[in-house]
Amino acid sequence: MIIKISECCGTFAENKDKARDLREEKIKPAFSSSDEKITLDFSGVDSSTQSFIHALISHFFQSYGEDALERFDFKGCNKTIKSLITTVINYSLE
Amino acid sequence: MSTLYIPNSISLHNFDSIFSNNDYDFSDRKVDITFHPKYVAMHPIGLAFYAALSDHFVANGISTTASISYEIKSLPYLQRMGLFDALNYLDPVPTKKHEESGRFIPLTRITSSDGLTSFLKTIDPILHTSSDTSRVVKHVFSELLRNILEHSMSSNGGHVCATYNKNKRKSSVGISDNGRGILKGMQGYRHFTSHKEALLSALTPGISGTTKRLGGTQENAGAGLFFTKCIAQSTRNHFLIYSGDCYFKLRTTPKNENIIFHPDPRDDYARIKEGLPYFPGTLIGIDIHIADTEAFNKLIDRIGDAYSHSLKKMKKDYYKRIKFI
Repeated sequence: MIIKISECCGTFAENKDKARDLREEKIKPAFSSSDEKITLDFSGVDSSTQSFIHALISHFFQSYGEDALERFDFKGCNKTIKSLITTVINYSLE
Repeated sequence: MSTLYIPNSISLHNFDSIFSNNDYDFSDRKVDITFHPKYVAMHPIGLAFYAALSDHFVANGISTTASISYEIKSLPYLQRMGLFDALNYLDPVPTKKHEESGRFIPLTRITSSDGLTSFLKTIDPILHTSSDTSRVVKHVFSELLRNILEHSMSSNGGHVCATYNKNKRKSSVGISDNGRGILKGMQGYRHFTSHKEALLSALTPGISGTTKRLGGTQENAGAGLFFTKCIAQSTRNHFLIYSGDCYFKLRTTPKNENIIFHPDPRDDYARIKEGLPYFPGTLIGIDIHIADTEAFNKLIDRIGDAYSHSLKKMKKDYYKRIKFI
């Protein structure tokens, strides 16, 4: 499953309501219904916030630990997005 | 009749000037607003403060009168930043709209999530910045304004305004709301005995008003204010947050000292003051001085490391909190 973040959140992905909707309506059902990889495609996203990335993915790492790493691919991330994703995953796994 | 005196200079450095010649006792519900007669230099935090105070007046049926000297040289600035409009007065001097050539965001009210998203899209053309140079400002705007929308319970949203100095590559930001304040916002799952205690907890990484759990929930990490404070600290700038009767003011870290992101705000190079006039909502001012993407990426990594380290330490400290009686 591929979820293109820019389609719903634009070039600055910061709207936590949208992150929650993606998490609840798309990512959670895909995560629990099969072993299919979930690709979060950040192509076209210039920047984001810690809060947005947290609302999008922290649940999976807090709940499933390092196993969640095997389920996600993060595509098209620039350095800023990579930093934010790494930060959120790091503390979610603590 | 009560008075509200607006002094000649309000900045993050000398924020206490806001209290000079004011007792902020508006119990007679009539306020006369006066300005320093010669000059009024105002950081966006001052503008945001008076905008929230004006909301408080309206919400509590407090009427105002105001007088101002036309000799104040900064009148056009105050006017273009929307101060008089926020105080519910007409602009004192005529200005043409096309004179507003940018590098500032006048007082803007944000009342919804979608409204915030729309506002953030307008920043680059207004500040004459690019998506690279405004990345940090947008991050700060988003984190702080979403805090207001989610936690303040303010019936009319929050205020934001900013100036950008291109030569110094520095943005100054003011954000406020007339909501329930930090103490009430944090009290759902924790017990605090003072505004100071609640405010310092709000600045501590991993503590959120939405849960007792360290590290927050799937919606909130309890990290937004910590990240924002660290952004100011990283470039040796000021950050101030005021709610209830207390403010926390991050002072500039001396140039010969290393910057350390302390999880406990009491360890910061800061001033914490309580017993101040009661401010019902939350007021935040910050100066930001990061323009290049690489520095921002490294900063996020460093703040993230500090957050993780703090969380780990706090969880390990659980044993200290087990009560054997």
